[in-house]
Amino acid sequence: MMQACMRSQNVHKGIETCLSKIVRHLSIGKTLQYSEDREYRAAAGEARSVKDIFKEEFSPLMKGEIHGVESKIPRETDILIIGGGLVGTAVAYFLKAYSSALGSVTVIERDYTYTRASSMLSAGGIRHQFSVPENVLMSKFTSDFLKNYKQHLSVFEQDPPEVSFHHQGYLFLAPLSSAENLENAVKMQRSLGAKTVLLSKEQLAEKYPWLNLDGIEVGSLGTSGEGWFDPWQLVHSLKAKNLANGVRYCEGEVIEFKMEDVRSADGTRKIIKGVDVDCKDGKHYGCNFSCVINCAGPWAGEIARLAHIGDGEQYGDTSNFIELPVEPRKRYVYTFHCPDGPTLDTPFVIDPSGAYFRREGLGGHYICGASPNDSEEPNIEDLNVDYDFYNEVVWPALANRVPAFNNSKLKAAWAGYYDYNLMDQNLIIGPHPYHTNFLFANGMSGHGVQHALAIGQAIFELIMYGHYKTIDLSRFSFNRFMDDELVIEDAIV
Amino acid sequence: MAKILLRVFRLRQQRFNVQPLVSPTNVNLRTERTFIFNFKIDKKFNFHDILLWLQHDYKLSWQEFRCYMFGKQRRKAAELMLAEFSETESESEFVTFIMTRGGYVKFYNDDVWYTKLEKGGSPLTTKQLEPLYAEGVDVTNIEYPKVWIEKMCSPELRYFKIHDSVEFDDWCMLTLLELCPNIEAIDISGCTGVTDNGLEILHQARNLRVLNVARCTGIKFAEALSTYLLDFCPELLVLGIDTIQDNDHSSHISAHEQGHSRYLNWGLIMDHHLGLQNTLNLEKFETKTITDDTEKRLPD
Repeated sequence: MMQACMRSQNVHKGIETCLSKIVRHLSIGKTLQYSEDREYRAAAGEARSVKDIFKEEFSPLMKGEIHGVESKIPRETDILIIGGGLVGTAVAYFLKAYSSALGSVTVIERDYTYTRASSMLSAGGIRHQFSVPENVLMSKFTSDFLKNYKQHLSVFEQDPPEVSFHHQGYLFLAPLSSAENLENAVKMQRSLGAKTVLLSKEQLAEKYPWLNLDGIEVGSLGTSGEGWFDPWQLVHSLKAKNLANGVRYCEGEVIEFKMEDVRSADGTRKIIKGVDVDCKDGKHYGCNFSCVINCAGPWAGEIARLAHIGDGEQYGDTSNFIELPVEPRKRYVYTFHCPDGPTLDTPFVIDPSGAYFRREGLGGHYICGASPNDSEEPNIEDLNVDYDFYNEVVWPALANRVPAFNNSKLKAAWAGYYDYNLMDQNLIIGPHPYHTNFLFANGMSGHGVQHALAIGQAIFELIMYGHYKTIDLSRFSFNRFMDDELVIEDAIV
Repeated sequence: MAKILLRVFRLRQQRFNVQPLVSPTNVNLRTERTFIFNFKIDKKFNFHDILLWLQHDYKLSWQEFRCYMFGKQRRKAAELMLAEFSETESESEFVTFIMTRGGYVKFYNDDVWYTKLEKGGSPLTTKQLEPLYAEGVDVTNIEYPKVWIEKMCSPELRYFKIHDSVEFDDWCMLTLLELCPNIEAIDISGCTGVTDNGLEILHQARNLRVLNVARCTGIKFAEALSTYLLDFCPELLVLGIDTIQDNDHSSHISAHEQGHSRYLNWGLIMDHHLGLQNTLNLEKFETKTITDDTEKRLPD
């Protein structure tokens, strides 16, 4: 009613002057003024003073706003997604796009400029060549989605989305020792419908004359659905669609999880009830939820620690003693220029040494990188680039593989974080065995860009139906660390 | 609102048993101009779908409804198309599909372009088709290339033509090159979905000799890409580069963009999002020529 009254500006002004007089007269102006001190706004279900409620109700009036502005963080929501990067946005998209009956979805993101988001700082590649069948299926799902992305992600009154998908396959090179593994992997991929072909040394020499094939016996190439795209564009078109579908995006940082004691058959147990969010306007907001999804990427381990995952010993829980084994790691991507390098027929080449490169545009620019050894992991405090790593590791490997790269010049470089799963470098998805309303979507270890959409679909199915429907990801559940059934992926770049 | 609509739908269902169907193509890229509204009588009126649609918190707009119907129509048409193909892929099946849908097929050692009969149906029986190989196809009249192009099965194909198709894009191009490695001429004039990334993959077709990219406004660097392509396809002749207009000039903005661009229509969209009524009366700002009469009326 109040909002309706305020539509007319004259009425609004009148009420304001009138109320300010009353306020001055009653000398309660101090309490109604906006203090800059840090304050806490309670979540739903917590007791609040009548004063606070009135203050909120009259705030648009005192500020001279036409409408009541929604609070920064909702007091309660059905599903809370921590992290608004590619995975978080994809999860929110599938939750809202395919079922509006699921209720409200809120995304909490710390940094809207995505300066440290892993997806934006990656090479943006997508491949079907994995040794674990679930990974192949997830990549295939992403390819199929991107095939029809205009139908999925168009929003009324906005320009059609564009992800600029470059169709170039991945080329995995293997020496004689690992040729059999590659052959088996290709067989498995083909049986799942991926279009991968095995190329012998002669075929490789004929197809890619610029490649030095010393010590290479066989290569596998993806002919369809593989390539690279712009993750930034995908995140933004997903986000635009989410906003149109009614997903609420909030800026803030989760600082605390609130637990509640609940009586059950075997004594009391703790459940996760809500979070406290630190907002940029200097306030703390409480937010209760029924279900929370951890999409914090490299910082997922920190969020899990806040949610008391892994410190069950304090409370005497025997089922909650394993921490989420995800930590940030730093990887570098280098851009170099080579005027005589390969042009249109450059696949995303992956050398047996672990170095990779791909074409970037047509002016003879390439981007490359490699993974360091476990003992030489760089410091993760800042995003500074180690140029010695290029000169000592990456460049020698690439120049050996492509002789034309001997005549090349390093142009630029950047660093990005990797959400590294310490146990088996694979996805962790699904609910925590003890805190069943805490869902994971973490530890992709560099495959987040290509698997994010499939993860979104899987989480949607878990919440909507209670089990996986399109791709069975139950092997990737958190329980595998308790049962010691790790899923090892061979094709890690 | 929902209740009223439900009643309207129910009444319509009882009286006419009529389902509104909309002529299909790409849902969001359609322009008003090409929009045709048909009524088609269908006994299976799926009421559940409309209930599902009403459950969403949509702004109940005509555009939203149209989009929903386009999507539904497309799904239905895709199902019908795929039902024509059996699991064992054979060329005769694909060629029959093209001819019955109104496309043109030319066979080896034959100068005739075959198409469907006036009554409908294929002019050649499957027995007659068995010894024949398709040399060229013109599939301009067949809608939804994304659906059926994966069923394409003619490895000896040399000539492929599809023009002014909204749905034909880079992914379709990739499938075409994969399934027809011996292709020599591709005519994609007017296919705005094809972009630079679609031209890049043409290096796979080593036998390619003619490429027509006239009016493909999605392609930005046609000249540069065609010189790069010459390294792989030495006999290549690229036609129609002159007709690709400069995208820098606003006069070439497509009808869709003019209707939907954020930047061109920012005023309307702002009103829509803020819930403000457009109270500005534009007549106020019209310049009025001051005549002798008005001068007299002006106060001193």
